[in-house]
Amino acid sequence: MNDINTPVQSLKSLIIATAFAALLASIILISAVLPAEYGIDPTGLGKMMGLTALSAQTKAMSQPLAITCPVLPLQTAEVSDQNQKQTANQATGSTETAQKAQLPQWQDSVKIMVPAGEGLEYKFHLAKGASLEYSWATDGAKLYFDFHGEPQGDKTGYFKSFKESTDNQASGALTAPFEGPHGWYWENKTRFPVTIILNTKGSYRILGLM
Amino acid sequence: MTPAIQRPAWLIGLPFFLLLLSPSVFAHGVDANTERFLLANQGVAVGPFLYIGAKHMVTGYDHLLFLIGVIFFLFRTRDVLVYVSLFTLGHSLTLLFGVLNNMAVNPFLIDAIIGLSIVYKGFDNLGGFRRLFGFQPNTKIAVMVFGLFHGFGLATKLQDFSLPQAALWKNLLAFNVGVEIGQFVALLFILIALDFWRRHRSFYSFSTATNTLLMTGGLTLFGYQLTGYLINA
Repeated sequence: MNDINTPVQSLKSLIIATAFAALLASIILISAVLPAEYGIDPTGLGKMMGLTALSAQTKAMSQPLAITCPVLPLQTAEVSDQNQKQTANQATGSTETAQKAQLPQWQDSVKIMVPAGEGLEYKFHLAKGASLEYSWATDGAKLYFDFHGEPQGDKTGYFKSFKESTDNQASGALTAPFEGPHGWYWENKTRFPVTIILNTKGSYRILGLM
Repeated sequence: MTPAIQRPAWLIGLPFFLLLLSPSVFAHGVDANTERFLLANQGVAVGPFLYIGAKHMVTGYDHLLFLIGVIFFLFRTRDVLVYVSLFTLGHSLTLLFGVLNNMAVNPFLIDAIIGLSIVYKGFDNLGGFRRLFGFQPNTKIAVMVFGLFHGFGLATKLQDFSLPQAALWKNLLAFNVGVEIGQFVALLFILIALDFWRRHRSFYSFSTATNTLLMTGGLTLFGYQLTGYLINA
């Protein structure tokens, strides 16, 4: 039946081996794995070794923000549209107030965390000719970004870049030149995670983080 | 100064050491570039899926630890082939079945079971079942059954990405073949290393310690995944 001839250990050495394995595994888990992966740190060792910092930063995430007044009457929307452009242009210094003032005018608002030293993409699907108005700002640090679109179904890796720069905010409007995913690539070259708040409106479908 | 004879060994070892350091070598994560590709990909892409499958296997330490446990006491080539084929059959079945039927298996639970499969094999290699229960569970069936779980684990990795439904099976098959290629490459290295080690007496004196460490690794993975399940539930 069994073609393996494994040596059978004595009961004593079997118990010792199992107990040792369980003990070592617990120590590794409690002191290193759990603090680094989940930020669970009962001994405080993880914090001492700086491991808990990993669990806070390793995952890029985006979190939709609640918008208090998503649908606006047409007229108000037009007026606020102009206001929005003005505010967006001024919104270099205090992002928070600007963003609070803008919130009701946007369709979607999302908070995106870019981990230290990493890059990510956040995209929208746009039909040809569809519009996307946007305004985003970071919590301070400047990020390298590339606002671009890829034609639907294209496999050559081609993309058209609309705006490429390094800044802590940007805003504008886009009319999609072709159907396909459009959005930003942000790269965080700093040593700390950077949070972006991205506000958008237009006729699109959110594809989200990539 | 390093003695001249040791230098080649260093040179061979260095790439492996670097591989260990590379951040992409975390089991189960698919690294950022792969992720971007998978999400953007719309059609049949045999080459990339072959590569992703192979890479997942070569860098997936949970699968590798289990394989090390399985072939640890297999001395004949024929046995290695039989057991590895059973493992392959097991994980291919559930990989194909799971993805094609869109089965939603909790990745944390599956990875926890994969951790337990390593614990089982370490314990089995210590002769634990024969000592404690007086009988040996059929090792071939066990390898096959745990292979099924490993396959579900592979399936959950692919399902993280909404793969295009059109021609899904082509990409899936490419991924599966890639997994086998990766497994073959990894096995080759494991077998060469084990074969070397078996010629020394230290293999026998350290076999208990090695299998204890195997159990440790399995338990660590188990705890890691189970905690993930509990806090994400």
